[in-house]
Amino acid sequence: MPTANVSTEAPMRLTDILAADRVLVDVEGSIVRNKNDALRILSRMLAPAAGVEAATIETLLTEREALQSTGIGDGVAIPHTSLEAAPGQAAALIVCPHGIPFDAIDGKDVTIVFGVVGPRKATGEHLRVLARISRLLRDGPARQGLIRALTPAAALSLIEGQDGALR
Amino acid sequence: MNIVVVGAGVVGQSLAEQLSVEGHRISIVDRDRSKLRAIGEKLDVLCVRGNASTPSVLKRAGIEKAQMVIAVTDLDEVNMVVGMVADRLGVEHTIARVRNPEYFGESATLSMRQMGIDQVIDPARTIVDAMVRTIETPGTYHLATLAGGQMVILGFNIAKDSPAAGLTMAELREIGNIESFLVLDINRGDQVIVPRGPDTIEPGDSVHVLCSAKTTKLVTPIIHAQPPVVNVVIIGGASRIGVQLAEAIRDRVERVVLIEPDPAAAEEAAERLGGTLVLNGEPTDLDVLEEASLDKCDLFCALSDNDQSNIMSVLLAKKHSKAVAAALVHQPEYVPVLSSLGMEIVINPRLITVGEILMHVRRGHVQSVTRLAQGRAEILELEVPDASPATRTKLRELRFPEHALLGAIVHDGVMRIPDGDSKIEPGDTVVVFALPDAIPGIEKLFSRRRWFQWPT
Repeated sequence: MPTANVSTEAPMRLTDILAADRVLVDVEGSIVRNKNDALRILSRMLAPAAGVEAATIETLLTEREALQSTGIGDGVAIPHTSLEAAPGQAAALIVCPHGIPFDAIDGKDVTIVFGVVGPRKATGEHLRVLARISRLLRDGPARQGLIRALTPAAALSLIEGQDGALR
Repeated sequence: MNIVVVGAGVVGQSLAEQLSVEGHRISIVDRDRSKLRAIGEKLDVLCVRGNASTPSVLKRAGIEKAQMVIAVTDLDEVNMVVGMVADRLGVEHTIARVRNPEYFGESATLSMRQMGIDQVIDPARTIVDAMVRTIETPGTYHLATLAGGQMVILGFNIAKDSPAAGLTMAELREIGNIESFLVLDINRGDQVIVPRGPDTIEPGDSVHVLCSAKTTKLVTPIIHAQPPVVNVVIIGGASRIGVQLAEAIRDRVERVVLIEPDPAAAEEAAERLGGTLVLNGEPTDLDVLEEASLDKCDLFCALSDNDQSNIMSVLLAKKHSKAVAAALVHQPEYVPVLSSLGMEIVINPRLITVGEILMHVRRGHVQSVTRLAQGRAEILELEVPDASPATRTKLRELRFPEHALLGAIVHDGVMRIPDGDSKIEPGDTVVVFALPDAIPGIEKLFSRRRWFQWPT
């Protein structure tokens, strides 16, 4: 399984920017209890790939959330930010089947939190990654599959399959 | 609804016209017989001549059966008195145009509410607010505010290095889903394109974007690789709007220069604005503009009370600098001409006043209409009635006219950019972008006839 996988080219697949060590499946609901937990854990997972301290990412993600929640409805949130230092796009995933409050636009609890960081200068690429994640998670069965995954490897392989099916 | 409009100037006349077309029973009061005659010939409204501050004249205008009084004479004092009298006579809603901030500001001795005026319309404040927002989100033109301030429409020019250049509309919709924005149209040369999934944004295009007022800051970096900054602002004319704008932005930008031809007015402005550079000279004089550091200017605002001077100074400023230009233009007829001369922001206080008053009258019904691309496209903001065919199915199954786009749904006060699974509920407010040929279809979908009925 690849570790600290960071793409510097336009990613064709989400698995190019996501790795098993950046996926957390909290089946018991004992690790991720709220939005702050989710942002802190995402930041910790993303920090090595982004080349900065976790606290830096956490601050940026929190500032972005303060403007408006990235909880886009149907249990999905896509916190994201860009950093001067980041060498490429990197993503991290939290699956929390129990659901956590996230101030989502539809008021529902969030079960899938997909975090993304990218370099500040490659905004076009960052935008494409966000678009791809949003598109993938728009699919109800894809969301249901992820929520039922029991391990990071299972979640990652689901994403690989779904991502490959996207045009 | 029975509405009494007081004042038959440009604003009163447009209000009477628009509101009577929408099915309201209008009476209009003015002292000027010739103005009333002109209106009476054109519209089916009750014209009453006389001093509207007197109860007898208001009674002749049917005040006792009116649900709303709109006072838009040229005099603040008359408008306030009309509002007070109408309130005492039991009118439910009173709207008054008041331009002098001393009457409603912190120093006012009586609040407007105490006087019985429900809504004060102050076009200067609306204009200054919009200009401040334009400065706070550089690289955009603030074009309109919708849904009681929750949404704004911004205009952008797409540069070669724009991160959005080359993205498909399908991709932009997904990103907009996260950042709460929607690209409404692409203006390419003379064409207005209502974009579909595979369409891409190209350098040289200009686009209109509908976004949440809270997230305008998130949209700018998507459009601009390096968002332009507004450091130097030149304001031509120490009019009330000119001075208010200088006051509102002097702490937000590096340098503000105000140019005023009248020595006394320049001195008064300098006193009020302490610390801001005020030049006494003509904003149409290139030497004066150079002294105001035109070469470094990012935003040039011609805000004097003289249309011709505003137009001339803006043309001059555009020729000799890279500044974005804004001009105050009182003659509504000039507005479409000026956009075609490359003026980015054309401000017409009367159109703004009419728009704002209509918004209050329509609250809970049809809400507003904003024209884009020199009137070749419209943004309609409307409340969805119970029986609307639009509420029957999910958006995916709804037959939406081809040249129209559903921009946003506001449900229980929360704005959402819709997708195929969204469903419109009765009572929601929707924002629809449409080319003229799509409007009849939109009207049918949201059954226009019902929009204009006042709930009983």
